[in-house]
Amino acid sequence: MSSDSVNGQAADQPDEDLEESLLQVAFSEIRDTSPEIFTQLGRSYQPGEVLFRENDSSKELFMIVGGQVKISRGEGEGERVLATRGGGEIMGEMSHFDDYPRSATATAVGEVQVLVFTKANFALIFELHHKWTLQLVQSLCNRINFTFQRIVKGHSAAAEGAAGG
Amino acid sequence: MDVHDRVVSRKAGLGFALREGIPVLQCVIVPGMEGSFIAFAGSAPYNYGASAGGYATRMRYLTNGKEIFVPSGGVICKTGDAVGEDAIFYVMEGRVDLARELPDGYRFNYSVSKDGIFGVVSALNPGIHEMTATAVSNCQLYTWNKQSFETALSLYIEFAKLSIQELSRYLRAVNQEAERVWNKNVQ
Repeated sequence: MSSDSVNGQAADQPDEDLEESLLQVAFSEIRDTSPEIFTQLGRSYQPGEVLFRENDSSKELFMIVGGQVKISRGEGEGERVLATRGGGEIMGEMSHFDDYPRSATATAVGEVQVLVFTKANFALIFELHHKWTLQLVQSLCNRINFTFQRIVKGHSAAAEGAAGG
Repeated sequence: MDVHDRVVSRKAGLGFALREGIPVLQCVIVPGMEGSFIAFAGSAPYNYGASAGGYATRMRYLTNGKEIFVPSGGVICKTGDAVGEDAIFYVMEGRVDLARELPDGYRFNYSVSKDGIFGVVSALNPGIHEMTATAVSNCQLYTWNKQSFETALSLYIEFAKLSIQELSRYLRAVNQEAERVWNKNVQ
């Protein structure tokens, strides 16, 4: 699936190089991601490649380093694009934390670089630096807020439709 | 039931708690909710008190906030209310329903029970409460302000995971509702 997957370590036994990379990730900004970090945690995707697919059981969490990723549901003519995610944004957090299947499909729009975290190495980052926790919580809150406003608009449209006809 | 009808003073609140077997270490009124209900706060760091099931061990992340009691039917916050100081709640015991009446009359519901967290979205995106939160059983809650919540998140990984799991569950529910509304409007 990924054209350049390099994170082949056992999920629950990160080696010293991987731990060093996680330390660097935890204490650096995404825009500062070094080649060493990318060597340990990075993947590259070509346009149209799928990072994860709706209903699959993968649990990895992705942080976008470069490029854009389309989030969609359904396939073919039934596909509906929900959002586009860009640099610094996190994807795949729901399945990573609640263990349910993926709720949407993530597809590379152009060339995309991401950092990929398993449950084991993301837990290590949590322990190393809390800003990741706060960033993730804020990201989830923003999405909930955004989606909730869409729900309100949708019901408002339904109410207006009922009143008009 | 409106809690105004049940608990109107500290004395009455204390009696209510004793009848229900709820531990009372300290009696306070929740800031900003004076007249709404009486809250009971524990100040001991661990093994804070007995309940019907015996002694409960306080989770270590329950710190720098306040413990409150809300009787069944008590309204914790209402849609449209300004977000107050202590806006993030952890459910120690009981169940809380979050609901929003939408413009077409549809009611969106979401339920939070023991070890669940609510209020984070409102606290981190300040403004007004989007949902009305109502205790559907007698509830012991722990509440933080934004700063104390972030401190707890930064100190305790199990609390960070719990919070993110709860937010993920909430986001799934919201996504499902958005999908349902979209499909309905398309048809």
